[in-house]
Amino acid sequence: MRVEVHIDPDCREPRVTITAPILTDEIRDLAARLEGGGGLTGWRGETAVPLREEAILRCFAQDKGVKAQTAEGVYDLRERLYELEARLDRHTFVRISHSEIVNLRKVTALDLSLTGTIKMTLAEGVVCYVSRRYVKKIKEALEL
Amino acid sequence: MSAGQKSWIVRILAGGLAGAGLAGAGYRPLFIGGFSAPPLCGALIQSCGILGAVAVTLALFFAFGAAVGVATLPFEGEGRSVLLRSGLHFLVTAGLLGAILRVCLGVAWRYLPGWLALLGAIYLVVWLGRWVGWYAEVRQLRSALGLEAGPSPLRWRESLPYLPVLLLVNAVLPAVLALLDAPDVPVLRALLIPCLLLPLGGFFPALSLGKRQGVCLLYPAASLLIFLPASLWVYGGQRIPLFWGIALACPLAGNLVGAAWRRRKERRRPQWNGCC
Repeated sequence: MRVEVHIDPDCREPRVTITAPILTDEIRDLAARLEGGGGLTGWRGETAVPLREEAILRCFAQDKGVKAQTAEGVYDLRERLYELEARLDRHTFVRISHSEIVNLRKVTALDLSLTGTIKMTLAEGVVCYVSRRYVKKIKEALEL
Repeated sequence: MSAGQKSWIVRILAGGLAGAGLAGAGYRPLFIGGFSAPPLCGALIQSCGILGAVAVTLALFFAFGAAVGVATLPFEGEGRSVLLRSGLHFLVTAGLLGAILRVCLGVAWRYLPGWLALLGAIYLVVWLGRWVGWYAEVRQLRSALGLEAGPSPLRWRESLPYLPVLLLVNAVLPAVLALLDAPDVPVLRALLIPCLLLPLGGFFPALSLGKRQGVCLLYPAASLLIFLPASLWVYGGQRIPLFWGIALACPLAGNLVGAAWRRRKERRRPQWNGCC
């Protein structure tokens, strides 16, 4: 894809025009991502839904795919978890296990079991488990 | 070879060689004896000769050293796997220690449980040390995330409201029953306390605690600690381990049942899964 940037001092707000021979999923994804600002594009079948970062509870791997969960529902993502990790705000979104990234702003409770398992409760009562190997990453994100 | 496998091998070799070195350093008391004392491995030497005894002793000390060398590895990770791995490591280490004590050092069978209890206590301290570290970490995370502080360590504070019940069941009531009991036929002390008061009075309050707060292991420990001195007074200085066991086991069972009930209830609570 060729990207051209034109600087025009008379332009009041940035404008993006996509020129393509045909409307494909990639183009829809790109458009949704540009419209959604710093968010992601969730998919429900062929429908692209812009997901704002602050609305995302967690992103997780399931059935060989990656999904994002918000208060409204679960959406398929086209990105891999490591791509999301690089793309999302690293102080807000942290990997807590091999297959899960959570939004730290949505954490409502942390519970420690006698065997060292950390149960993390997110908004909407979503429960996930922190792998001990990733505790260091959470501390880094929180600058501890 | 992965870094983990390399770490296991290095620790096994280092620990094993240290163990064998220890046996080598103590060769005189082990295989020769001194002054009028016979060698500690006397029985082993008699049964398989001096070379056999040396080989068996070195092998056992090497294996025990190796087990000690890898002692921290089974505690890595979390959840059920830690329980399984550390439990398995305890069994292996206890077996090796028992074999060294019995076969090499000729320690009588009756002293083995005491030694193994000491090993168990070391495991408990290691586990507790790790748990305290985890607790401090989670507390730090809670604070950084602006969450409530959460339950106290081992839920001691949450167990406190149940302490008066323990005092009543394990100390006050047995003392009153002892005063009321007939001196010739001590039915209250012999039957009522161990068969009714301790089991029911231990189980049901602990069940309630487990339902409300989850696993609180300090509660059964406190039950035993309160009953021990009370029982010595009630039973005129007699030590009755069976009754001590009841004072520990019934609150433990009640608490675990209550905690399981609570966990089941939490799992059954309809959880939002995000599907529309």
